[in-house]
Amino acid sequence: MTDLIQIKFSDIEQTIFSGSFFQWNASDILSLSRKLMKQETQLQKNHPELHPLKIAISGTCNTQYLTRILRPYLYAFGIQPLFYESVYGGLMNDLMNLESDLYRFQPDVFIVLRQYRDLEAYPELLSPMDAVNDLAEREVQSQLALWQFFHKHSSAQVFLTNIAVPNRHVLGNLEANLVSSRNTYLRMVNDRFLREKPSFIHLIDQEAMSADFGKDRWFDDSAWFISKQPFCMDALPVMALSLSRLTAALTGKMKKCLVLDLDNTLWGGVIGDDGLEGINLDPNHAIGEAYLDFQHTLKRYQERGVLLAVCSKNDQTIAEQVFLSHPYCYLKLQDFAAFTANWNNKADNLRHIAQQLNIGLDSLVFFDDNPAEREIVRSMLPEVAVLDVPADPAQFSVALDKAGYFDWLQLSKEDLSRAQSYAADQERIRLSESSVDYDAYLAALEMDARIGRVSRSETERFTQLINKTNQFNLRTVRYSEAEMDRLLNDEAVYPLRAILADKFSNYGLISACILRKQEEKRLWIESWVMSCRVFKRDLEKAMLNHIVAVAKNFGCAEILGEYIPTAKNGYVANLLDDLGFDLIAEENGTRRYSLSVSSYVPCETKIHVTEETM
Amino acid sequence: METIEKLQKILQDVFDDETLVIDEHTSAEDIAEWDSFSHIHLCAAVEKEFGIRMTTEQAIRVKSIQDFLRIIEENHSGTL
Repeated sequence: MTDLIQIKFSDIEQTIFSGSFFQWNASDILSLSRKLMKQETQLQKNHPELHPLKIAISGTCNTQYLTRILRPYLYAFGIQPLFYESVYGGLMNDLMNLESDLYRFQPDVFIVLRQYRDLEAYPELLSPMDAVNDLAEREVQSQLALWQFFHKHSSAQVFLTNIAVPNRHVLGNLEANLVSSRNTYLRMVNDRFLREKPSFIHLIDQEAMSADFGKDRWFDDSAWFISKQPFCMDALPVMALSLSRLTAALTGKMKKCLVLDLDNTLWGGVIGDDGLEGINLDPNHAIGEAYLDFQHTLKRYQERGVLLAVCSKNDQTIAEQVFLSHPYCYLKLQDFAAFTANWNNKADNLRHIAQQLNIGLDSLVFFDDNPAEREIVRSMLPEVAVLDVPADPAQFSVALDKAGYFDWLQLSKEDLSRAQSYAADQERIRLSESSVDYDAYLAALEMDARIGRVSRSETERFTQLINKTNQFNLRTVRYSEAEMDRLLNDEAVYPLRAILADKFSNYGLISACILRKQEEKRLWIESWVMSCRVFKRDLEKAMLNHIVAVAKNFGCAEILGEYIPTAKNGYVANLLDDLGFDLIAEENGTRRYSLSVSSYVPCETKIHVTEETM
Repeated sequence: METIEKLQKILQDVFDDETLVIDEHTSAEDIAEWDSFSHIHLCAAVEKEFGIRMTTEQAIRVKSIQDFLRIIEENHSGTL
């Protein structure tokens, strides 16, 4: 038992923000949470950086323990929660009644626990496939109708668990052989819901969670009969960790890059000492196969848009030898967005990698077999997530998955092409070194841009970009999908997006701007973001030309802009000055600007712009 | 540590009161915060500390330190 009772406030703070309680058992976390609640005001005062969020929790079960356990997890992820808890069994009333406390609360996030006990109808045994399908379809449609109703009246994102198939097998092995069995049916309902769910609903994979945990432990019928808990007490931390991580992703806190050591991490042996022959990646040797399997896992992470980087104490040319010449090495040099092999300390190298990739230190995850290196990084760079790497390489892949650092809410085409585009960066750097001046370099890039109104099919990416961009972001306004829906249908709003390609890569949709027509012939730049991938290309100038055209089209005489400083958007502190806007007001660092439409002289750039209709 | 001392620490922890002193006659009625919510928390903490698993009947009936002592005793004599 953790000796909690003696804990001082500063220790609670340290325990929570270091996440060191993640490994505790549920009853200790309940006690921690109780202490936290007593000190919450002080904690919030000490941490103005916390992101406040209104979180509603409901289900057809007791959610009190989950709420209690969630609290320290959310703080650990930088979120300051305000909770609304539905009464036991109050889900339907909350959803259907527009006067309910749920709607009054106006949640940002709505967490709903579902369970197999929610289902009232099951197929009759030996029903044919069609009949089973029909029943599943009716079940899913009735749920979807409820959620569509909710969505009409709330802008909340919904975290809805799928159904965990229980450890009940009345039919024995026939459960898996009959389409009409209950367990088969539950899987069908899960599948069908996935296929038909709207994008404001994010399914929480309770089915996988319970299977990994062990269904015989996950399901605790005694806890259901006594206090209507849908799963056992010790499953609460598992659910809470997943929910808080995804909630954090909603606020733009995501990991983007996995930084890897080389020796005894990507292969067995030390290349500097053992030479190429001493490197074990032998598919016919248990240890070699384990490292090789880990390389395959890493390739899959790279293919899903996670950047891979190397940070190793080695001589660069010697380290590269393995990728170039080892017969079994699966990963190639091109798979890495950054490659640092030198004898500097790893904290400095991590800073360098973040800078090179133009991402924050807090987007990095560090994977190193050496506990001493991990400790140094932990103490010197607390923003970097450091994975507890198991001693056995056979466990590397599962440890990486289980750590869940790359639990994102969405995956876009841009995510998938990101790795290739970083590889192209290397070539671009070579070009810039051979060009005489920057303008010549920009011209040699042969850039093509499409600038215009966002289309239906692009809105998901548009929203994602606005919600996760931190650096080039004038006002750091975030929008839920529902708010975005309303915005896109607002006639006074022009949602502008830019798509850029150059001769090395196609970046896709990399800038978004929300323009709003206001009273007195003014056009207001409500939001403007750009991916760091395309900084310093003069794209902002090409976009301003379009913004002015939009202003004219709306009959506006003046364009208003605003810069609100955050810890991360210093990059655009002078953007509007540089674009020729006049500073008209300044208060607490927030600066307001104006640009006259009639005296605007279009900017020249090296970008070939395809103008699109307004 | 004696079983009763361990229980005292658990109760101090669950009810977040380090001054709480118990004896075997202490019951739910003596502790204002011993409600249905903290009852489940308490049972879970006792189960963890003593490595036991209470039956549904035991979990709903346990109302005092004496009850806990008996349950711990029974569980351990049963498994040892």
